[in-house]
Amino acid sequence: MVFNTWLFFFFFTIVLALYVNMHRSAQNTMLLCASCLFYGWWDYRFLFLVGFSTVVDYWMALKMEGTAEPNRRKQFLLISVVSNLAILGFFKYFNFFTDSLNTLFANLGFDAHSWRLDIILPVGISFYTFHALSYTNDVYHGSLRATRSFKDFALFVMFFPQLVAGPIGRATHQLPQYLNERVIKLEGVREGLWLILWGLFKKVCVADNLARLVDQNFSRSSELNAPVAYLTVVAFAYQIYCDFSGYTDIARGSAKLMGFDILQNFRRPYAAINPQDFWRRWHISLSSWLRDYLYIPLGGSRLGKWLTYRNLMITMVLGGLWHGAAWNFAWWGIYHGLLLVGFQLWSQWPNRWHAPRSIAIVVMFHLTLLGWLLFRCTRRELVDGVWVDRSFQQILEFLAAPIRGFSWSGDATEIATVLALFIVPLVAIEWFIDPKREDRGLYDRPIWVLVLVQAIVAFFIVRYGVQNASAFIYFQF
Amino acid sequence: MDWLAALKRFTWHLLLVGFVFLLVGELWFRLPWTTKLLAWEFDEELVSKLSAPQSRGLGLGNFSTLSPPIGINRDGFRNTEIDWTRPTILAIGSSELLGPGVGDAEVWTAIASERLSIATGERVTVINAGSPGSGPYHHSVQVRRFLEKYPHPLLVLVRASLGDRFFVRPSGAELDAARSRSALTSVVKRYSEFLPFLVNKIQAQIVAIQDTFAQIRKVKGSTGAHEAPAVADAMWQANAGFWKDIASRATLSGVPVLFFVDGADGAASADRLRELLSMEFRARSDVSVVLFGATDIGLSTRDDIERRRQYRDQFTLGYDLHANARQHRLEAEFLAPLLIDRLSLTGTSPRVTSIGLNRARARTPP
Repeated sequence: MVFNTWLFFFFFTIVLALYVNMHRSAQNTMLLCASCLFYGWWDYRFLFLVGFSTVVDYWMALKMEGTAEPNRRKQFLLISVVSNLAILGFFKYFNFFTDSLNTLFANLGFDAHSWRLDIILPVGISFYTFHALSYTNDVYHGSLRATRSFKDFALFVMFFPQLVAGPIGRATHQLPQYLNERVIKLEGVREGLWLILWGLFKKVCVADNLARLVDQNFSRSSELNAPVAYLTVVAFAYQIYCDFSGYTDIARGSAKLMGFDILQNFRRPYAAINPQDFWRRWHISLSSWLRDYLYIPLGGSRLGKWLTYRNLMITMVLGGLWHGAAWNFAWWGIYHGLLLVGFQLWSQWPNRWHAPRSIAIVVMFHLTLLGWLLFRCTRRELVDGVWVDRSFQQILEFLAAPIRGFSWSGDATEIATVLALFIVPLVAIEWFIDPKREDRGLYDRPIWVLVLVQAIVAFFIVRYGVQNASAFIYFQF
Repeated sequence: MDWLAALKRFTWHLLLVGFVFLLVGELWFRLPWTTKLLAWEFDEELVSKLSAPQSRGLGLGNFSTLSPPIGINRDGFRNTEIDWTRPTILAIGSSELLGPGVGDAEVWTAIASERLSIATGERVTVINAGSPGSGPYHHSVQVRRFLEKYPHPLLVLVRASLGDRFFVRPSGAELDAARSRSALTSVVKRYSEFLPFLVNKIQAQIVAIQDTFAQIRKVKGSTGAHEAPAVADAMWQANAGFWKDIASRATLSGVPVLFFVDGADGAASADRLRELLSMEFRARSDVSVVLFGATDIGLSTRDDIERRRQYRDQFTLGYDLHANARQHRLEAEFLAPLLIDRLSLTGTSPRVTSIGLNRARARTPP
């Protein structure tokens, strides 16, 4: 069930109508059933997996709570982490590792035997696995008490607005909301409706219109000249941002209508002035998860500079692979790891040049573009019945675009027109919304600005919204 | 009581947003640089047809941004004004033929006209009579009208696509409803550019909502059903009469017919439709059938999913499955030599002379 469909609209309307007429415990029961229906709509078998993770984490947290012995607590945490990561590893990474091993053996001259399994990747598995792991980690570190209510914990894991594409919730912030009475305020309803409208604009206007051009141009990367190749990567940068942040906004807006608060996931990421700043603005829930549960336990920046660089690289490579089991995601992770390490080195250099903010933004945006190129080049070809990865070749084809010339063609005009049509209102409205005030940002402006912005956004959705319910990119992660 | 007051304020806010939304829409649609939407008018047999002349774009559904203007000449065809003293080829079909999403010069009929003209040394026009939302019934009406009204073409090319099976002959009740609606629509259109678009959009939502509930009832896995050969059998059963009608009318006028079956996505149903048409017309030397298949655009993979993906990415507009400029060019490359060969269209060919005779016999152009 995808947010930008009538099906979700009717589903959510019914859920909301039931929700406002129930008390807390019944609300949670109903939301849990609705979440099962929402997720089972893709494939009911996925429910067994998420159910298994939920049971294991619930049980292990209670076990941890029941003992004060550090080793026993660590064992229970390990059971939770290993069982969650084993499921994730098997369903998401098994074929990737066997394919990579096969290729390696074949290159070394050994007989390669295909161990590939016909596995369906459960939607949003990376999101709910990390979501659930935050709970056992927080209980282990003592920052949260284990909950006795299985139903409330299951709802924390499976809450439908954020189940398949996040934001990855933090148990300390979210679990208390399921355990306590929610208050629906008109202010929250207003903000929730605006977030849904804004998210729809990002998804169906910006992301889906850019996707058409991006898909076509990436499929003919060997023919593109410099302007078209450059604009295509810019278009992808905005496509992926609007697709993912659009989902987040709709998720947060839907939750707000029910009185829940889900953390912000994006803060104008393309206004970042350096790699560190970028990761404070992009997919905040994942970067903070990786920081708290991977980078800091590895030692963070406490063990000297070389180990800091190592920790950064490990965190970013695993963060890249979190997105998918393919080499392009690994390259993307390595690239961002190198950017962070490079930035650390640059920051320590005493005679470094302090660039004006606008130049820093432009430079960082172009560094991000190169990362998106690595991320998006996913070409695979079927050769003699075997899938062969051609992503590296595709990256080279893009980088070789200047060789094909700099002439401005009709294709370049087309993509530039679409970018201008959508990016101008997107940036202008984001500028109006004060990110420090989060969802209240727009409501602090005069009423005529608010009305005009909402009317323009609604008009763009009606006039330019692509209506065939394409799935969100981040569902596959 | 607080809630009630707040709710009142909220309702007023929504009404105000709605009002500004209408103003913004009206203003936007009147801006000189925005593409205006294609205009339609009521037709007693076809329900609706494109108004002529006009140069406007499609703006519903997936044609949200990029429907380059579609130039319709004063005869109602997607061509520049036609010189009726020169030879023509009539191409009939649905939106697949009209070419939404590609420019006037990129649509295959324009490219083929160019190539035929170069080959013959004479201006030959491939008339693009494509009409969105039309099926074989509509095509038979269009062929009848064309042959009655215009000088006879060298050939009638019927683009048969499995997608056209949804567009059936309108019932009397549908025609009556459309007739009464058209009167109201023309009044609204006189004052507003945005409202007709909005009404169309709302109508499209009603269909989308109906589809949503239909999908809930439907058994999973039925998507992609248009590829099954049985679909072609069903389409043949429902439409064979109209195709036979086109062939007999053309024969009576001495014009050969070419059925051009669109199967570029490699669907087995297209091949089945070609087979059925070939079987029907096998004894007719003036009717031929040709399939434009996946191999003709260079898609050779046998993996169905991969082939569909490659087809969508490389040969369609993307989210919308209408052909892109690349596929139009390949269609022109496929058809131009075929037409030159079938019609013996060379500069010194006696056929060109006989075309001149045909023109002399034909009615005077309007």
